Amino acid sequence: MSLWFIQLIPTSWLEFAAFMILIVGAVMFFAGHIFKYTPFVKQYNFPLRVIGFILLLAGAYFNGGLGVEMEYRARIEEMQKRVELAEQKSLEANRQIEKVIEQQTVVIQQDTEETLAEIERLKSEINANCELTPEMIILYNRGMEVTE
Amino acid sequence: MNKEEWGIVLVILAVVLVLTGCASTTVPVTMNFPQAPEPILMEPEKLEPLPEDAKEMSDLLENSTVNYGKHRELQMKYLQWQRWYETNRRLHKETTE
Repeated sequence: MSLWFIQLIPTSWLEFAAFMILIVGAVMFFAGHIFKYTPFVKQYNFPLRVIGFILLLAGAYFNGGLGVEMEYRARIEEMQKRVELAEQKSLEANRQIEKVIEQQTVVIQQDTEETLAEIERLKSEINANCELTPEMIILYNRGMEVTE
Repeated sequence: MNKEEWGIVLVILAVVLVLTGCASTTVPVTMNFPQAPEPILMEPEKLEPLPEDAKEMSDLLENSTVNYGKHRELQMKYLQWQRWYETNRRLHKETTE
């Protein structure tokens, strides 16, 4: 048995309902006792007392449970705020990461371009004394082969 | 029903009511799994092999330079992955504890 539906009812309505159940229960219970000695309505005294007692019990339970329900609602609200804050911070961190990647990618590409330009400039000196053989190329490429 | 039976019924009713109040009070708010930034989700670039028709030392140097650049980009993205994970792990811990 679950009381999930209570979460759908506004707080002020709950407080009013719990209080009214208690009051109506008390009134009916004591009215039942008075009716016992009153002519014409004497026969209603027992059902009145029983219903009054049940309402008194329910009212006491709801008034006590209301505190728990309010605490529960406060915890939900606090948790929602914390989650929203964490999600905002996470988005902000993502934006910073994207910015860093964008900036550093440009720097790395510039570095590569500069080095390639330097190689092109010194090409004749670099190639003066050495020539690549097919075996050297195979050995060099082996380092980047992926073994699956 | 006599008075005693009514009393038993009322006591049972009261116990049921009280036990209902013991229902679980777990807060029904959950944190969505965070979305990682787009650049670190992209397919990594493969290294360039040295062309078979390469003859000169400068070809080797050019190829190495291009591959070093790719490695640096991946290294940087890898570090950002770690940063993303650490940030979100900390946020999750702060939120749920």
